Amino acid sequence: MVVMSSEVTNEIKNIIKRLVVSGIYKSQSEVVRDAIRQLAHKYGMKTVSLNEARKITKKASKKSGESLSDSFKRIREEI
Amino acid sequence: MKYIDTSAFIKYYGNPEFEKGIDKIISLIDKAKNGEEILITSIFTIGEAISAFDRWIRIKAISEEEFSKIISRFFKDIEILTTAGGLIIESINSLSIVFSIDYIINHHISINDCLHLYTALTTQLSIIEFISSDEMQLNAAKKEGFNIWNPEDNIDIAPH
Repeated sequence: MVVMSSEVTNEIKNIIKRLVVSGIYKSQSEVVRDAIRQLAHKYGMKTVSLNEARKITKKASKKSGESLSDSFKRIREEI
Repeated sequence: MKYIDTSAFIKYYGNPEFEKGIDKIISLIDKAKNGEEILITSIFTIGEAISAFDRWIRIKAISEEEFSKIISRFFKDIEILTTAGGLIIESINSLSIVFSIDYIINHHISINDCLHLYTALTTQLSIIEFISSDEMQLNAAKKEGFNIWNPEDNIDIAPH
């Protein structure tokens, strides 16, 4: 479930409404889920397993000397 | 339902050798994937997580190809979680920013921390616990009345 409890721009709101009214999607949630799938498709190559993803982060941690949490903390500190 | 901040969520992709509390987060998120747990977060988590992975490109810890592989896994998991009903993603808007200001001033935490706290406070869903590994944010959440849980703590406050 994806909750759209607050406002998005009117333009986006109208697009979502039209997609639902036209019957292409059954609900707002379905529109958002598909948008996430599209993003995954746009940026993703073949989806790797979690183990493979963790092998990459292990290699990165060894190389950088920081955990993923450390990397994230640096991002928040940059704000 | 439990609110999960990016600092805790992102541990799911870490490695046990380097990541404190990873086992607890893996257990929690795997339960959510099976519909045994319902987590709530902000849409902001998506951007923050990608930023953390992207930072590793910046410091040349991973390649562009490795980055693509990690985020494809990340998006796949978001899809699995939301489809299973184990993750609810709350949107943010201009009012979220404006009303977060009070929390910045009251708790002296960053806008990022505040956006999560504000989302947790204003969701119409009932949150029993705020999960984060950001100590300042957790302290603010505690002051706002949430039960808090830091997966990095050795003492397991809540059973998971």
